[in-house]
Amino acid sequence: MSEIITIQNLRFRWPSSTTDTLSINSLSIKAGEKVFIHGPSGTGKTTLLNLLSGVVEANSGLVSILGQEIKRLTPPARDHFRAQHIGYIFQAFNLIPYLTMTQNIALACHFSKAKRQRALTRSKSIELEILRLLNHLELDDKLLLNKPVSTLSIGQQQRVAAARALIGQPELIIADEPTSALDNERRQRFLELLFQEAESCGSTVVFVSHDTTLEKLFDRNVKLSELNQAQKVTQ
Amino acid sequence: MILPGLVSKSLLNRSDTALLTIFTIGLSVALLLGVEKIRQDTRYSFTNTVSGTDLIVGARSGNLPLLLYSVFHIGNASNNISWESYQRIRKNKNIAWSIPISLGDSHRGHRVMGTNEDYFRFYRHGKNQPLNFSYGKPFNDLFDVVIGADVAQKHRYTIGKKLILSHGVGKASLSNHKDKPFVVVGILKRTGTPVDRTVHVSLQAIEALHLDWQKGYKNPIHSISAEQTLKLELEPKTITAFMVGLNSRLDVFNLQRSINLYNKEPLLAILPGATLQELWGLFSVAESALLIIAAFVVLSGLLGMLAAILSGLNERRRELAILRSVGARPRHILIMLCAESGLLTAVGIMSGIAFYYLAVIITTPFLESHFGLTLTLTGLHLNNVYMLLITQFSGIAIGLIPGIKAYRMTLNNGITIRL
Repeated sequence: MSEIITIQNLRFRWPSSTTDTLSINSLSIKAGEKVFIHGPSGTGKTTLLNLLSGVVEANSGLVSILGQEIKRLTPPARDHFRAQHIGYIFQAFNLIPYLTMTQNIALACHFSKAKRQRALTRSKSIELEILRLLNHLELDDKLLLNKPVSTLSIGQQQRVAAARALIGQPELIIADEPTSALDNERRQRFLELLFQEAESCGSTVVFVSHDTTLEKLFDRNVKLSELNQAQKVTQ
Repeated sequence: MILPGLVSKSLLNRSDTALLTIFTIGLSVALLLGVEKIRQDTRYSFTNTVSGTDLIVGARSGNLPLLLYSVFHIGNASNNISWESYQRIRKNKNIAWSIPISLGDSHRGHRVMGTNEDYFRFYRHGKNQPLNFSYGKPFNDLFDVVIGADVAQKHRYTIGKKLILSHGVGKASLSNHKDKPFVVVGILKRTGTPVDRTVHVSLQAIEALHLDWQKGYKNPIHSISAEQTLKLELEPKTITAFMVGLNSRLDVFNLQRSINLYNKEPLLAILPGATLQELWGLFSVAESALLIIAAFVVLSGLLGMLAAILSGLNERRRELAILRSVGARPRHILIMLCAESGLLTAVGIMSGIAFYYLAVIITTPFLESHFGLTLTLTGLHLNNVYMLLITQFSGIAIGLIPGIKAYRMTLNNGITIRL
C-alpha cells in the first residue's frame, strides 16, 4: 500500500518560541489505514494537525502528504491541495450557523473542483450525494434538511460535519476530537459510521484525541508523547 | 462563486447589527446629500431671482444689504431714495427699463411691494422668464393687488378677495391699514423666487396708505378715507430701490460709476451677479463647515460599521476556520470581509438616497414657507455621485481592517481553533 502521510526528521518551532514544539523522527501512515493519535494537551497535537493540513510549514525535515512534499507548495497551492484531498472534522461547533445542513455539506464542493467531480461520479447531483451520505450516516430525516443547523443535536451536527468531510471522497480525513462532546454510546456509533463510509471510498482516517477509550476501534495507535522527541527534551 | 451567497447569508444571520449599521450609514449619507442639496438650491434660487437685471440702485449702505432687502426681501432698507433722483436717473439714454420698488408694509407675514406696471413687463427670473399670470391681470386701480403663487395658495385667496395690509413687516404687526382694504386682481404663476411670497401693489397705493400717517403712527385727526384718497393725485415721494436693465451691458460699469457719484443724494448701484459672488464668499465658510461636519458624520457611520464587524469577528473565528478547512484561502476571507463592509455600505448608501428624497419631499413645504427656499426634486448631481463613490470605496477599504485581522487570525491560528 502507498503511503498517505510521510514525516521524516521533522522539526517545528513557533516563531515566538525558543524551543521546538514538535520533533518527529519518523511517522508514516498508509492509504486506507485508520490511525488513532493519542495526544493529550501540550504534546503538540494542534501543531501536528496544522502541519498535516499544510497551514503551517516545518522548520526542517520532510512532511509529505499523498507523495506531495508540502514544503514545495506555495501557500495558495497548499490551500488548494487541502481543499482537494483532505476532509476535516472539528471538535464541536462544526457547522456554519447561517447555512442549512445541505449548504454546510455542499461547502466542501464549492471550494474544490476535484471533490465536486468525484461526488458527481457517485451520484447524479451534489444534492443526491449529500442525501446518500446523510442516509449512510443515519441522518435521513428529510425534515431536518432545511432547518437551521443550530436546531440539530450535537450528535447530528457531528454527523453533518462528517458528511462534509467525506463528500467528494478525499484521500485523507483528519478528525480533531470530533467525539468529545458525545456520550460513550454515540461516540462508538459515530466512529463506526465514519469508518464504514471512509472504507467505501478508500479514505485514510487520522483521528486525534486525548481520550484513549476509543483506541481499540482503530487499526493502529500512535502516542504523540512518545513520537514527539521535543517533549522529552523539555521534560 | 459561493462567496456572495456566504456574505449575504452571514449578514442576514446578524441582521440586527447589520440593519443598525445600514441605518447609521443611511442617515449620514442622507445628511451629506442634504447639505449639498441646500447648498446648490440656495445658490440656484438666489441666482434665479435676479436674472436679466443689470443694476440695482438704492440708498447708500452695503452691497449685500441692498441686494438682500431689495430683491430677496431679507432685512430692511436703512433708508429710502427720493422719487426725484429715480426720475432723473431713469432718463439716462443707456437705460432700457427700470422697476421702482417700495417696501415696508406687509400682509399676514408677506412683504408688500409697491411697484408699477413695468415690473410685470420687464422683471425676469430663472432663465430669462417673464412673470405670467395664473389668473387676472396687473393692478390698474389704486386699491388693486397682485399676489404671488404662495400667498394665494397659503391663504386660499382668489380673485376679488379683499385684503388688509399692515404697517411694518413681521407677522404680528399691530397697526393695520384697516380703513383702506385692497382687492386681489391678479395671481402670478409660480416662479420659485421671493415673488411667490410677495403682495404687489402700485406705488400710489403705498403712498395712499401712508397719507394720514406721520412718522410711523396714524394721525387720528387727519384721517383720510379711501374714497377721498381715490380722488387725490398721488405722486410717490420716495422709493426703496430700483432695478435697472441696460440697452448694452457694456455700459454697466459707466452707469454704476455715475450713480455712485451722484451728487444730489448718496446712492449705491450694485451688479447683482457680482454681489451674489460676495454672498457666496460669505456662505462658503459656513457651507464648508457643514460639508465637513457631514463628511465626518459619514466617517463615523463607517467607523460604527468597522466596530460592529470587528467586535463580531471573535465570535466568527469558528466560522472562518470551517471555511478555511474546506479550502477557503486567506484571501477568500479577506475578500469576504471587504465584501461584507462593501455590501453594508452599498445598502446604506441606497437607503441614504431614499431617506434623502423622502426628507426633501417632506421638508420642502416647510422650508418654502419658513425660509423661502424651494428645494427641487432633481436627480443626483455629479458632485453627489462622486461623494457617494468615495463613501462606497471607503466602506470597502474599511473592510480591509477586519479583513486583514481575520486573514492573520486564520494564518496564525491555522484551522484548529479552541473555544
